[in-house]
This record gives sequence, C-alpha cells and structure tokens, in this order.
Amino acid sequence: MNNIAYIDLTNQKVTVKDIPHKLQQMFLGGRGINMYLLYNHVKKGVQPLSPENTLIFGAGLLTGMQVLASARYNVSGRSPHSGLIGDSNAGGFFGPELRFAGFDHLVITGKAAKPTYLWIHDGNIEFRDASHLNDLNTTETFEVLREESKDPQSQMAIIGPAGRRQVIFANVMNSINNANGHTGMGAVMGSKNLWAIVVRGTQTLPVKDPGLLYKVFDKQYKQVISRKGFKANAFYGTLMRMSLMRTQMTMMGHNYQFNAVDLGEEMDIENFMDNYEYAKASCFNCPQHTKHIHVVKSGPHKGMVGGGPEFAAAGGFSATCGAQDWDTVLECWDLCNQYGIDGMYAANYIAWVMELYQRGLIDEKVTGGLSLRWGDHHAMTELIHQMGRKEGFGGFLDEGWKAVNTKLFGEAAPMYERYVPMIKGEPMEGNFKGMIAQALGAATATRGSCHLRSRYTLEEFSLPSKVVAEILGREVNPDPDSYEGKAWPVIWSENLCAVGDALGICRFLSKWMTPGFLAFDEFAESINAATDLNLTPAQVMECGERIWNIERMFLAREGLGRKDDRLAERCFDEPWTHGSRKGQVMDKEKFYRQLDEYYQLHGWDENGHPTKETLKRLGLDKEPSHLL
Amino acid sequence: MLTPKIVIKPKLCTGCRLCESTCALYNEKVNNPTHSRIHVMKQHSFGLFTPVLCYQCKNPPCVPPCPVDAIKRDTVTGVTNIDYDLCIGCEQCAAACPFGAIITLPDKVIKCDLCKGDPQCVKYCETKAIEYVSPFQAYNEKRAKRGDIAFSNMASDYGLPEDVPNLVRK
Repeated sequence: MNNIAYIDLTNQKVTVKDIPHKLQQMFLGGRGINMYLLYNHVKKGVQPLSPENTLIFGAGLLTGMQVLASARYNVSGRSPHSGLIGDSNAGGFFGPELRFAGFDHLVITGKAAKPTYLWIHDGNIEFRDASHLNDLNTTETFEVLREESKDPQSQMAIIGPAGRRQVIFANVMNSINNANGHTGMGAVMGSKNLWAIVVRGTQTLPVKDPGLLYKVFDKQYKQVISRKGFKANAFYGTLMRMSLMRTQMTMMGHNYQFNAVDLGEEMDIENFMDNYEYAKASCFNCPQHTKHIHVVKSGPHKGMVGGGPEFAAAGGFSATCGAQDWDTVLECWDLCNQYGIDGMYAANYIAWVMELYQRGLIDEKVTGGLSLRWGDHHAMTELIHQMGRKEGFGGFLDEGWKAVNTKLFGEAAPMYERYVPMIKGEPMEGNFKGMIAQALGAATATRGSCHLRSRYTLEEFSLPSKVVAEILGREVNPDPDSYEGKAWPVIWSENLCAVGDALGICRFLSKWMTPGFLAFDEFAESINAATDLNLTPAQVMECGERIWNIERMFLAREGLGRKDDRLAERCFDEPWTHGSRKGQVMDKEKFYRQLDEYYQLHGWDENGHPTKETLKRLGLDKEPSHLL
Repeated sequence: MLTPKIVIKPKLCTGCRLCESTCALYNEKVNNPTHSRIHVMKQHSFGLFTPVLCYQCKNPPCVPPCPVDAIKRDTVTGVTNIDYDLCIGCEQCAAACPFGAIITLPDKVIKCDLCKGDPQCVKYCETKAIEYVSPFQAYNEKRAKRGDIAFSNMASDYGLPEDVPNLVRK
C-alpha cells in the first residue's frame, strides 16, 4: 500500500496514512497525488513562505521499481515566485530511496523551531539538528550529511545557502546533478527551517507479478535502445537543444531581443564534449545517461567540478545573457548549483537587467557599480553571488520581478514589464515564435510557461502524418507555422507529461523526447505488471487529464482564467530578427483564437474553467474531498 | 582460457544501478537493490562510479573459512558457488572476502554466480561497463591499442602511410 507521512515540523510529530486505492486509480502517484494534496491542503491566501504553506514530496507510483528511468519524484507547494502552483520534478536517486525507506509521499507543514533535517530510514522519521550546516555550499552539505548518516548509500534532498535565505528561486538539490528547480521550492523548504531530508532504505517494494514485470522491462529496454534518437540523447543530453537553437534560430537572444545572436566559436557543444565533459552520469534505472560531469578549465574557479550543464541554463547564460565561452557558462552554472539556485531563473533575471542596462534604463548607480554588459563574466558571476547571498543588486532582485520593476520605474512600471516576460508569474521559457503547438502549450501550462508541462516535441520531427495520427490517436495538422488543429497535440502532451510525472518515469524516455519511445501503452503495461491497478492505456491517459484538471481547478480558485493563458507581448509585436522568418510576427488574433478549440476539447468553458460535466466525468466534482 | 566472466570497466559506469535492480529481481525475485549481488560504489561529488561484485577468484579466500564446505569453486566455469543445502549462514565467507562482494542479507548470504551461465546484469548495461566476456579477449583490446601505437611509429620509420593499422583492418 502506498502511503503518506504527514510531518508537522512545529510539533515534531509524524502521522502515516495509506493512500486509498481509489485515489491511486484516479491520480496514480507522484505529481498526481501531490496535486490532489495541493488542492485539498493549500487554500487561497496561504502565504508561500509562511508556516501555513504545505511542502509535499511525492515519489512516483513506479519510482524505484524495475521500470526504465523510474527515478523521479515531485516537490510541490505554493510557489513563492508566482504565488501559484509550485511544483518541480527531479531524478537522481532520492525518490527510489524514499520508497525503499517505506514512504511514498511526505506532507510537511509548520515550521521547525531551529534548522532541522529529517533522517528517514526503514520506516522511521527522526528530527535532527541542522544548524551546523551553517552556510556550507551544496557539495559540502552533501558530504557532511552523508558522513553523519554513516551510510555511503544514503540519498538526500537539500537546500543550499540560497534556500536557507529563502531566495525565491532557490531550488532543492539531491546531488551535483539533480535538482527540483522551478518555482522556488527551496525557499519554501528554507522558510520551514527544514534544511535537508536524508534517507536510506533497505525495504522491498511489493510487485504484483515479478516475472511479468521483468519481461515488460526487457521489452521496453530493447524498444528504447534501438530507436534512432537514443544515441544522440545518450551522448549530448539536453545540450542537443543548443545545436537546435543555433540551426533553427530559436534563441532567446539577449533577453528575447533577437532570435539569433553570435555565440562565438567556442560555444560549440562538441567543444564542451571534447574539452570539459569527463564522464557521464545516469539517474536511477536509466540506460540513457544524459547527465554530464565536467571540470572548469580556467578563471577564478579553475578545477571546479560540476554536474551538467543542462540546456535551459546553458542556453540561458549563453544566448540569453550573451556569454561566449564555456568557462563563463560553466562557472555561472556551477555557482548556481553551489548556492542552490535555479540556473534558468538566474539567467532570465540577469538577462532582464542586462537589457535594462543596454537601454540606459538603469546604470551603475542602480546596480551598485556592476556594468551589465552582455556576456560580461564579472557581472554575471557577481550577480549570482549576490543572489545567493541576498546582497547588493542581485539580492534586490530577490524581491521578485514585480516588486523590483515597480521600485525601479514607479508609475511607469507597466510600460517596462515587457522586458521581464513572465507567464502566470514564472519566467518565459523559450522563444516560441516558430512552433505554434509549443507556443500554445506555453500559454496554457499550469506552471508558468513550462516546456516540461506540455511541449509537443514531435512538432520538431518531420514525421509522416500517418505516424503522427497513430501516436496521437487522431489526425493532426503537420504544419508547424499553422494556427489550426494544434490543440489536441498540446493536450496529448499534457496528459503524457502528467502521467509520466505521476508514475515517476523520466520524460526523456517518453515520446515527449523522441519518436518511438514510451507512451500510454507502455506505461499501462508497466503499471499492470507492477501494481494491482488494472488500467487500459486510455484510462492511463485519463489519469493525466484528471491531474491536469485539478491543476486548472487550483488556478481557477486563485482567480485565473482565459486572460492568463497568454504569451508575452514581445512574442506578437517584435518580429523575428534573423533567418527565413525575419520580419514576421506571430499572429496575435489567430494565436488566441486557438484557445476556443483548446478549451472545447478539454471540456472547459470560455474562461478556461472545467465545466460541471467535465468535473463529473473525471470524478472531480466533489473536490476538495479531503480523503487525504 | 576463454572462459567468460564479468569484466568491469569503471570508466564506462554511469551509476544507473540497473545491474542492481535486475540482479535482485531476477535472482531473489524482489524489487530491492539491496538484495543484489552487484553493487555500484560512488564518489558522488566527482561523478565517479564503479560496480563491485565477486571477481570469481582463482584462489578464493571465502572457501577455507566455511565450516560446512558449503562454498566451492567450480574448476570448469571458474565460478564459486554457495550450496544452500549446506550453508548455515554464519557469514564467515563474507568476512573473508576482501572486496565485500559476498552480500549478507537478513536470512541468507548471496554472491554472484553469473546467473548460472546467463548473467542478466550485463544485458542492461548500456555502456558495457560490465560485460560477460573472457578477460583474455577483453584485454586483447588493450594489447591491440599498444600494438597500434607501435605500428604507427614503425610505419613512419619505414616511409609507410602512418595509418597502417586501419589500412590493414580495411
């Protein structure tokens, strides 16, 4: 039976409850159960950094099991950055270890009297003093905690110096390579005086049919390994997208001003692979090992070793902020990891103030002497130090984009909001001008504009329409520039991502990443062999739909609607600056008209709220049901 | 001479631990990597990993300490096996193993027996950090590399194309 440990930090109390079978059938686990808990526990008006916010860790239904890439878990709560859904998924080995220790979800409330860490091992949860962690960086924190656990196989989820200071884009890290990044869950953890969770488990996970699970696993392993895209993923990891953004000219160049900027000769991914990466790493049970391990070759941090980088921040520090060499990009990336800050957010904030500086809207007097020239090594690294320590101009940015923009520009602030494009309160994640389905997904994501919510990646592969129709279950418009018929691919992707996150399976092995990889058929096979749930692929997809709907219900309760399903203005009034689409803009009217079909297919009203019929069909009409 | 065993190349290990999960499910029928005969050791901060498992020693230190002769080396396969009809679970074999490759579970002692000739872990090691191959053949690769370096130098001295090793292979 999968369970939840309710941990009251204020009173140092732990209560354990089993998850009712019915809720597993509806939401599976991981992000699914987390979002159910979020909707039921986190009421409107709860302040994100107050003891009233709830911090939820949720391992996937299949996390830790003999299933490909069954590594993942979600950390959720109210986001201190947007005030809306805080939710972040990570891999590594923490999720599986939590399950081996006998727990599937942790619902953490209140606030500890002093810095505390949880020691979770084989059915027990202990509260331990964390004050000695002081201002240790994340690598030092990992080492100290591992030593204290007296077990080299311990896994941990920690916050770094930034999380301890409640920096609103602080992350939760579980190794040099894995983090729960977006939406500032590290700050929520810090606000609860919870500085780490250390876990070690030697317990067995029940399997319905071990022989069948083994067979299913073998089949899916062979399926994935044999696919054309596997080798490139396994070699380049997410850095492939750096090549893509070059060739397709979809950069967020200098804070979205240009769709292509000169990255310099050095910023080549082959250069990184040859001269900086020295090893590859995997998450639990994943054969695709997309993680890089690198060493910085020069500068004040020569010899610094780090995991990654991953594309979002590597693209962020290079194209978006203007850096033209790997040493700068890697140093920025490693500093973010050492402080425990989301690298993509850091890059977006730095690029924002760089554009303000470029336009003469701020100067050295405002920045405390920093000259925010594009790609400037000193400016970028110094800003990250300041963000991590909450000092100086970088520290000021921690007040959040809206407060900062208002303090800088007073009554004129709304006019300058265009330079800090935020969607549903989180940074805009890509240059969507080219791919309409991806752009629609960005405008309607339940977490910011996040590509991890519903990016319809297959749009990038010129697959024959027959193949696409087979995958998506219906005919789809293959033209990436068209504004017609893109709603279903987005919805299908939403369901795929939600299910993957609920199962704890990495989306890099699903059709979100590459044609021929896993999707609902394979997920159903794994679920039915491993657990006593008996679901068809269609029912599995419906779980995804249900999770998406309860997320939309949360947003609706917060007052969001059609007006919030939008992209930044610059997507519509600033034309492409380079390439074959130079001079073109996205058609605003056609773009937003897509919402009609999107809402209709979802079973929502014109304001984007689930209708009564849809709620009934999905069994959500009694929410909040308080079953957990 | 060409008897296969599991050859380990640590530089190729990415730390995924599929070998552990697979071994435990296949041999002990449980979803629990602790019950695996192979374990991946990690230097976390530098991303260094290596699997550790029984090296099927030719002169196994685990054999003499057994008070009931339950652990014996098969001279044909080269594998040291535990006879569970005789084993009393005293764990002296585990104590004697210098590598910690004999795993002491709550109710039994286990070690790698190459899955009785069809090792499973190697099937799911994508990078081939573990491979079921004769060490003699595996190390041929290393000897070949040394050879290639010598051949390139000799070719250069003789006025032959330096790419001699590859020309011969074509």
